[in-house]
Parts: sequence; C-alpha cells; structure tokens
Amino acid sequence: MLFTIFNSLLAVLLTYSMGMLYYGFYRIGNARIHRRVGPPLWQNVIDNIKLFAKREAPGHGIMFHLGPVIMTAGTITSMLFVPFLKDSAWLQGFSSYGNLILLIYLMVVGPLGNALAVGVSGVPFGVMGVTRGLTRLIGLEVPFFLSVALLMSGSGTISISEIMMAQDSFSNWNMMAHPAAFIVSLFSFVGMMGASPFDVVGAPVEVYSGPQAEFGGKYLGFLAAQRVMFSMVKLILWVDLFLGGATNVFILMAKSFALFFFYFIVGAAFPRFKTEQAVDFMLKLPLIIGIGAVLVRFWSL
Amino acid sequence: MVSALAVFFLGTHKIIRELLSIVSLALLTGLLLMRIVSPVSDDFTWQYMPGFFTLSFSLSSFGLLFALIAAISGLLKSFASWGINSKGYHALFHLMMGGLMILLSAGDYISFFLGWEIMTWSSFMLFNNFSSADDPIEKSQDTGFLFITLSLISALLMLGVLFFLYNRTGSMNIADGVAWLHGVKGLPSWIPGLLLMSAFFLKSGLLPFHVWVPGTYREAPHTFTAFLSAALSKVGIYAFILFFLPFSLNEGSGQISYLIAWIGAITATVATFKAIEQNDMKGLLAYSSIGQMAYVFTAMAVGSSLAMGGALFQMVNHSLIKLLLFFIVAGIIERTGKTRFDQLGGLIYKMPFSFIGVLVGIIALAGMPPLSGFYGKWMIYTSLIEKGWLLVLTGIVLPSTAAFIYCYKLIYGIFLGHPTEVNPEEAKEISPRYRVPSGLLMASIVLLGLFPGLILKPVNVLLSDLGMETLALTSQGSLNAASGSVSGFMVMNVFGGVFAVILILLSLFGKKAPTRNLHRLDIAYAGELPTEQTPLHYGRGLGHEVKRVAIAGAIVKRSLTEKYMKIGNQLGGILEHVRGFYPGNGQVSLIMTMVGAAAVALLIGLKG
Amino acid sequence: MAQDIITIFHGPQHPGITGNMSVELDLLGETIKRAETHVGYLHRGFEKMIERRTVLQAFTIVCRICVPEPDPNEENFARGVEELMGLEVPEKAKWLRTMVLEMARLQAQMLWFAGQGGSLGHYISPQWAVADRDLILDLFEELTGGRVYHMYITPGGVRRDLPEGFLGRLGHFLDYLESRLPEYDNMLLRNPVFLERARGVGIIDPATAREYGVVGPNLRACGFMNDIRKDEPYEMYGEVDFIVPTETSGDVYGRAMVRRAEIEQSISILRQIIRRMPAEKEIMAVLPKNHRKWEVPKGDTLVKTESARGEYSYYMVGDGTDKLRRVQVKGPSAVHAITLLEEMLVDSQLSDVAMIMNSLGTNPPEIER
Repeated sequence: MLFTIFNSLLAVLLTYSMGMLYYGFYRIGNARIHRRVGPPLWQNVIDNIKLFAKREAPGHGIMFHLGPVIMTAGTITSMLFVPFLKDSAWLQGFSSYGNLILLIYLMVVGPLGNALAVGVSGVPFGVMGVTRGLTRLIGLEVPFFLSVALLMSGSGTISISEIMMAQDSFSNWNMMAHPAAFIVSLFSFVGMMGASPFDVVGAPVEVYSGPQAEFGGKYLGFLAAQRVMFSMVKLILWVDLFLGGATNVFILMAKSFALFFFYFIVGAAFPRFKTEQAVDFMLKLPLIIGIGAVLVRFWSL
Repeated sequence: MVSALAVFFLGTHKIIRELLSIVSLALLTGLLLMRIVSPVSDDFTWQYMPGFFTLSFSLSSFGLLFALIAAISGLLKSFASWGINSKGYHALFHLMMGGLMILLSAGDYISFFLGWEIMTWSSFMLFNNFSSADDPIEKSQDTGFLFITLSLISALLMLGVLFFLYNRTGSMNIADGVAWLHGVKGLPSWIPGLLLMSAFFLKSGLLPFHVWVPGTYREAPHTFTAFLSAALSKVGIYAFILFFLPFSLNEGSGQISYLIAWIGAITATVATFKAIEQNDMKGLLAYSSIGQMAYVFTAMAVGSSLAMGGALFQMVNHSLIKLLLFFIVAGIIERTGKTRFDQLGGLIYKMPFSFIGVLVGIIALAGMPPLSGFYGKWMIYTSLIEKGWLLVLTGIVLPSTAAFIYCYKLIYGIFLGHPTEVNPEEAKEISPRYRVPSGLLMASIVLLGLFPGLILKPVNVLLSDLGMETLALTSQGSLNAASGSVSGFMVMNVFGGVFAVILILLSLFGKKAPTRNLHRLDIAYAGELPTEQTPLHYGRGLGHEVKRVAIAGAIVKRSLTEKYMKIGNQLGGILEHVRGFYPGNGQVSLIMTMVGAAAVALLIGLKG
Repeated sequence: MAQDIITIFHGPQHPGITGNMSVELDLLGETIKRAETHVGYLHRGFEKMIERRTVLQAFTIVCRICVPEPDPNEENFARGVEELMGLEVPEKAKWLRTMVLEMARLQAQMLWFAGQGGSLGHYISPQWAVADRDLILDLFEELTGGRVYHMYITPGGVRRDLPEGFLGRLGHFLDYLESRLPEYDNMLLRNPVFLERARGVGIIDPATAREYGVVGPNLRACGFMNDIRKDEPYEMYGEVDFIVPTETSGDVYGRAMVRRAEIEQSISILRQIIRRMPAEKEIMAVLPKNHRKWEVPKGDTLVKTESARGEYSYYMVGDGTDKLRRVQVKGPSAVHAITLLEEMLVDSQLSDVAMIMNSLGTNPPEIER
C-alpha cells in the first residue's frame, strides 16, 4: 500500500515535470514559428508559482471552491488508472483495478465537476464554453471509441496493460498492426489535447476564454497544473495503446514527445473550427475511416 | 399476492387511504421480498368455465424482479405523493398496480392480456384525469389521443398474435407459444414475432413508437411520472424477455438481434438529441428515459450473459435514478411552481439537498464512475466489444456522450446560473416527503456504486434461471468479464482519496491566499457591468446550438409526433363520416371500436 | 421573467473586438438575436478640438483620429486647407504624399491581416503580419520621425524630403514583402479551416451595401467597383497604373481576397512611385507670410481620400479667422461598425462575431472623432 502511494506521488511529480517541460518547449516552439524568441523553458513553472502566490482569489461559494478540486482529482485519478511502464512494478498506480473503458469515462469526471463550478459562478461565457466542450466531446469520443474498440476487440482484452504487453516488437505496435485505428485516434487525440482546429471551447476570442473565465489565483493555478498533467496522461495513454508502451521513463518520454510534437505542429498550423464544424468534421472523415476499418476487419475474418 | 391485491381495493375506499395505500404497498413489497427468502411456490390456477379457459398464475424469478421494482417504486411514490391526491387517483393507481401484478405473474394469454389492458387503461385515466399540465383539457387531448391510439394498436397487434399462437399451438399457455415461436424457423415465426415485438417496443417507447412518451410524462401527475418511468416502462422489457429472450440466444436469429441492437442505438440517439432540445424538466427526463430504455434493448439483443447482466443492471439502476430525479423535480415544481429551465436557476445554496440529489442522479445517469450508472454501461460496452459489434458500440457511444449535455442542462438550469423567476431569497428546500425517498434512493445509488455485487448476485440467479452462464463475482465491489475487470470499490476510494488530499492542499493554500466571495453579478463580463435586470441565465440556451451539428439537426428538425398527428387527423376526417353510426358518447364508441377490432383480430387469428 | 435570451457584452475588454468599443449581444443559445454597438469609450471630441485650435495646431492632432491608419486624416486635412487657402503643392510633395498614403495602406492591410488571423485563433498570422508591418513602421520612422503618428503631410506640402537611399530600402522591403505573400496565402487564406469558416459567413448583399452606404473593400467585395483613387483621383493617383480588385461573394472570404489583392496593388503602386519620384528639392508650397497665424478664408470644401477601409471624408468650413469654423470627419467605420454590423450580426453565431468585425475592418476611434 505504501509502495502504491509512493508510486502515485511519483506519477504526479513525473507528469507535472514532464508537462511543464513539454509545454515550455511548446511555447518556445510556437514562438519560433511566430518568428519570436519566446520565453524561457521554465516559464510555465514560473506562471504556475505566480498563480499560487496570489494574495487572494475571487470565489462564488462552496461549489465554486470544489470545482477545481474535482477537476484536479479527476485528472489524478485518471492518471492512476493508466500504467506508465510495462514489465515494471513502478508507476502502475491502480491500473490493475481498472481498464480502458473506465479510464475513458474517468477522464470526463473532472471537466464535468469543474463545469458545476463554472455554472455556479454565473458567467454566461463559461457556461457557453462548457456547452461547447460537451458538444465537441460527441465528435471526439465517437471516433476515439471506434478506434480503441478496434484495438480491444483485436487484442481480445480491455485492459490497458494487456494491450500494451501484446505489442512486443515494432511490427506489433498497434500503430503498425492497426494503422487505420491509429489514424482515426490521432484526430481525436488532437481534439482531446485541445489543439487547433478543435479548441473553440476555451477560445479567448470566440467565447472570452470560456470555462476558465471566472477562475483566478490559486484556482487557476490548480487548473493550469492539472491541465499539463492531464495532457501527459493522454500522451502516455496513446503511447501505451499505440506506440508499444515503454519499459523505462526515458523511452516513455521519447515516445510521448514524438506524439507531443505532432500535436504541437497541428495546433500551430490551423485556425479554429466552430463547435458544430468540429463535430461534423470528426463525424465525417475519421468516422468513415474507422467504419471502413471495422468492415475490412470483419469481412476478412 | 392476491390478498395484497384485495387490500388495494379495500384501501381505496377508506378515509385514511394514504396510510392504507402505503401499508398495502409495503405489504406487497414485503410479500415479494419473502418470496426471495423462502422460495415457496404460490402458483395457482383458476378454472373459468371449466374445460374452456384456465387462468394460471405463477411468478417467475424475472417477474419477481420486475414486481419488486414496481412495488418499491410504488411504495416510494406513495410516500412522496402523501396527501396530495384524491380518492379516484388512489383507486386507479391501485387498479393499475393490480393489473401490473396480474401481468407479471400471468401464465397464459388471457391473464397476460387482461393485466396489460388494466394497466394501460388505468394509467391512461391517471394521467388524463389528474394531469399536471397548466391547461389540462387543452394540452392533454393530443397526448391522450396519441397514447390511446398507440395503446390500441399495440393491444390489437398483441391480441392478433396471441390468437394466432393459440390457433397454432392449441394452448393458452404462454410457455407453449414461446416454444412454438422459437421452434419454427423462417417467415411464419418472424411475422408474428415482429408484430409482437412492436407491441412491446411501443410500451417501452422505442423508435418509432416513442411519440407517446414525452407528452404523457410531461402531463402525468409529477410523482406518477416517476412511477411511469421507473416501473411501467419496464413492462415492455419484461414482455420482451418473456417472449423473445431465447430468440437472441438462438443462432439462426442473428439478423433480428442485430436489427434490435440498432433500433436501440438509433432510439437512444434520437431521444438524446431530443432531450437536449427540451426546455422543461420533465420533458427532458422523459426523452432521457426513452434513451436509457433503448440501451437495455441493445444489450438484450447482444444476448451474452454479460450483456444480459448489463441490461438488468442498467434497468434497475435506471429505475432508481429516474425515481430520484422525478421526485426531486416534483418537489421543485411543488415549491416554486415553475417547470422550465428558463424560469428557474440559481437555487443551489437554497436547495442544497435537491442539488446533491440531482448531482448524484445525473452522475449515475450519465454513466460516470464512481456511481452505479457506470457498471451497466461498462457491461454493455464490454459485451459489445466481445461480441464484435463495433458499429453498434459507436452507435450507442454517440448518445451516451451527448447525454452529458442534457445532464448538465438539468443541473445548470435548476440550480446554477442566475435566478430568474424564482426569488432565491424566498425559495425553500423541497418538502420532507420528497426528501426521505430521495435520500434512500441516493444512498442506494452510492451503495451500488461501491458494491455493484449487490445487484449482480440476484442477476446471476436470474441468468442461471434463463440457462445462461453466470457472471464471475470475485468480490462485492468488482465486476469481471472475460476481457477485463473493474473494481468499483477501488475507483471510488481512489477518487475519494485524491479528492480529499487536494481539498486539504487547497485549504492549506487557503490560509495564505483566502477566497473572497463575490456578488453574483461581479463576474467576468468583458469589462462591462451587468445589472439585476440583465438576463444572464443560460438555461434555455444550453444545448440550443447542438442542432447545428448535422446529425443532431437532422434529428431535431424532424418530428414523428407531427407526422403521426397528421395521419391521425386525416383518418379523423374519414372517420367523421362513419361517426353517424355511433351514439354521441365518445367512450362508448371507443369501446365499441375496440370490441369490433378485437373481433376482427380474433377472426384473423382463427383463420390464420 | 423567463429568460430564454441572455445578454452578453462583446467588448470593450475582449480580445475579439477591434478597439475601444463593445457590442451588446442578445443570444438564444449562441445565435444572435439582437446586436447593439456601444461606442463612447474613447470619445475625445476631435472636431471641437480642431475648432478651438489654429490650423497648424490642429494639424498635429488630426492623425490621432485613426490609430491604424492616420495618414488619410493628414491628407484630408492638408488638402482641405490647401483648397480653402488656395495653396499650390509642388509635384514632388504630391509624389511623396502618394507614397506615404500607399505605405500607410499597406501597413493597415497587414494589421487587418493580423486581426483576421487572430480572430480565428490562428496565432501565426498576427505575429508574422505585425512583425512585417514593423518593417514599414521602420521606414516611416526614417522618413518622418514617427512610427505610428507621422504628422508628415502638412498643409502646403510635406514636412521632410526623402532621406538618402530611402527609395532603395523601400524597394528592398517591397521585394521582401512580395516574397512573403505566398506564405501568407498558404498559412491563412488557403487554409482549409479558414475557407470552411469564412465562406458564406457575414454576407453583405449588394442592395444592402448600397442602401447602407458601405464603402471601400467591403463594397468592392460585393461586386461594385468603387474607389476614390479612380473615381476622383487626388495627388498623383491619376498618374499611376493600378486596378481595383473586386469580388462578388460579399462574404468574409470575399473581403479577405479583396484586401489581399490590394496589398499587391499597393506594392505595384509603390514600385511605380519609386521609379517616377522626381529629383527636385521643392516639397513645400509658398506658405502665408505669418507662419504662426494662417488665416483661412471664408468658404467650405469636402475632401475625400480612399483609406484602407474605404472613403474617408472631411467637410471643412473656414470663416476668415485663423481657426476653422467647422470640421466634420466622416470615416467609413461609422457605417460599418454601427448600422451595418448591427444588421449583419443578427442570426449569426457568437463564434463569428470577431471574425465578421475584423473582416469589415472597423476602427472605433474614427467613429468617435
């Protein structure tokens, strides 16, 4: 039990530092694309510390207070149900008690908890952002579910660890074994990471920052910290599912950084879709590829 | 059991009918529970005109489950509606309960049909005569018309098929008919099967027969809506299991199962997008009920024991959730007199209990861990993956994701945002007679979230009665399938633990960086200042734009109800000419029509 | 009361607004049911300030009326005063004015491009366009001493002659900018997401455009060929060759394409100016004897300039004193950002508000002159 708790703390620390590092790179990389110099690599850490050091934070009652807590708890709980490494006792969290379907649902708990806080704050922009987020989720989950369902039925298990274990050599990586599923999932991946063109939810221009509009100080600090950790959880999940998992932290970082780089490039290149355009897009191209893959699979069997 | 039925009728005529009502329902529940503890057989047969018909009653384990759901729902409902209903209402309600019990314990066609009809008619009378709509006469006519027309169609379909089966098998016994249905391959068994299935779909409100549900739920007395959703909508499932369950196990009927699975998925999608569009609380919950029932049918179509377990879990869970939500909604309507999302809002700190109740309800309804709603979904998804029906899975992931929107709309529209027509200073928590049953329901939802095994054990008994494999149960708190397992107990604990740690951390920060609570109008508003008069409550608008998504738009813009009403009106025009034959009284002519139609059905059945 | 509609403010403190104004929106869901423009956050009373100052004092403040493109103000003011006082401007000054006006148009279009990209969450475009605009501002600084407000086109001529080698540097810049244009196209104007969002949104139909008095690129995107530079040529615009690009769609995309084509035309005009710039030194008219006290004779005049956003006009009345009796400034934004915008936004989406405003090229300060 103590080992598990220690491991959980380790996972939180690892994802936080990984996330801050990656997003530091993200800001510098974006700046270079913008033909700017950009901030130092640790700028995100500085920003985060600054938010926690604010002397006070505006609030709207107890539910508003609990929102960021549920959000962070949801993130960390999802994190603990993702195995980070294969063939290792380390960084497994509670993943043996859960599975992929549980994880997909767990990942929604935090945002919905935060949505309650957004609602209670009474900012119409925030609620619009939440509504957009939930609408967008339709577009993201459907192709994603289809692609992971292909994986799960292909490998005959819904456990993340077992899916990861089955990918023993490069040719057995799911991105090689199930290329269509991988491609479909990448669309959802970009959306779930909140990159353009699917980032209309918290758009500063289109909806005045949406759900985050009313949070400040320590609340925003928690939200910012959980955001980078959540991104890392998704990266690690994709590494586990499609890139063959990792046997140690360095391989994990290399693989997840490759995915992160993809997200960063796509996000930098595109403007935003409107909510309905995003959903329509996701329900067109990726879904058709996915359905095609399913049909091919079951006809060839 | 029969004694319990008798008590209803007696009870309805007493002055202290409320008390008797509850006592009788409690007695019924107790009796049913006794059946679990001591499985004595109280099957009995009643010779009516010896040698011709025999009414036989026996309660199977499935019937027992449904009867228990109904009895507990009825008990809680009676408690919640303490003192607000007239004498006739009680009489009808108990008549309906009686009909339901007859239906659930029916062993032959006559009693099955009898129970079916008693239940249908008394529930029609209930919502039609004791409507909660603002203008009962104006509003109920369309709804009542739809309900009664569709019920008649359903009854006729059923009657025809039952006579057909009688004609074929020469036996009034349901078991014989079912055996015949499964024995015969090809067209002869398909057509009656499909017709019968339509009748059951209609009762559960599956596409394309869902049109009666929203209006009925909206206009029924508030607590009766809870009962409608929690118990009556399950009757279709019971009948489906009774007649067809072996169908989906049957190798030869793969296409039909697949079709049913898709009907479930499409119904769920349509209902979910319609629910998002609703502006009143009961309408939203009504469409949500249709959607949740549809999952059950999809799961039953899959037919594996995991899926069947999922279906039953989902069904029980749905009863709990809908009772809870409808009770709280009824309480809110009673306190505020408002039914729509654009009239409510900002009540969270005045109605904390209701808020937590709705929160628990929507978390379970959306199927999110760690509450009980998740396990039904999990079992259904896993069974679909194991079966390889990935497209069906996609088809039900779409509505269950979209369901988040209406779940959020429900809680936002009532409790969050800004107050509109209800002054939060004057608002009070819902009355205790709603609070007590809601509290029990909340406790049971949370308990099931911790220990799904509590339901899975009885489910296993049912599965073995059906001749299916039982689900592996390693502990009370976990769920197992061939392809993976999940521990609800662990999920709840981890989430709770992390939540507590972060809350403590935030409180530690709170010492150095206190939270300053602002006025509700002190918000991020692009640099301008809202006033007390500025409309800021997004209850109506939430989900309004979902119809801009192509697939949702296609669903929301079309209305089957309108089409049916159009057909109905045209038929009505034709019938105007025929009307001369009948003496003015509408009810008499309805009954006459029914008798005539029954005769026709009888003839067809005997000929065929 | 039941609230099916909510009211929100888009601006004044909002990244999706083009300056110091706000739009009050009534929304059902996210569909706009009513829009009302609020201005007044930046009211400085320029017209009154001009009336209370002498002509030369007033000259220093007219450029402040419009931040993104101040030079049409200077041009209008100078030309109006010249017409009233009968000053004869030397040819070189006219060439220099034309050059400055075109450079100003170019930088204003770059600024529009930045806003258009930013309003869609495409953060490369603002960064690139503003960085490239800065190169024009460097040239302005070299020529006039000011980056944004130049106070260069004075009544009677221009304030300074060209610095050594300036035209060569301008030419280099134009080559550089031209080489960048394909990248801009690929980045935003041909981006599939931009096409998806901009096509068919914010449509002005030709009849509405005429009725409301829409001008400039917004009018040209509806299929009308309308340009003061062609219709009533001023300065040296009669001497240079250029075409007036038009589109017929009238939507956000059409307006973007018109502005994109105008960048090319401006480059071409500037190249012609570089080629034909006279070598003479005379850049100032013969000015009144008393430099500190110009007396504007009785009379009135209406002067018009084609700014990057459309027709920009000054109505000026002199009454024989050293102050102007009345100056009325009419910028294109009054029409575009108030009457037209309020009409256009109805039934459009909240997500599109910023994009539509940017595509109209609205600029609040010139409404509140």
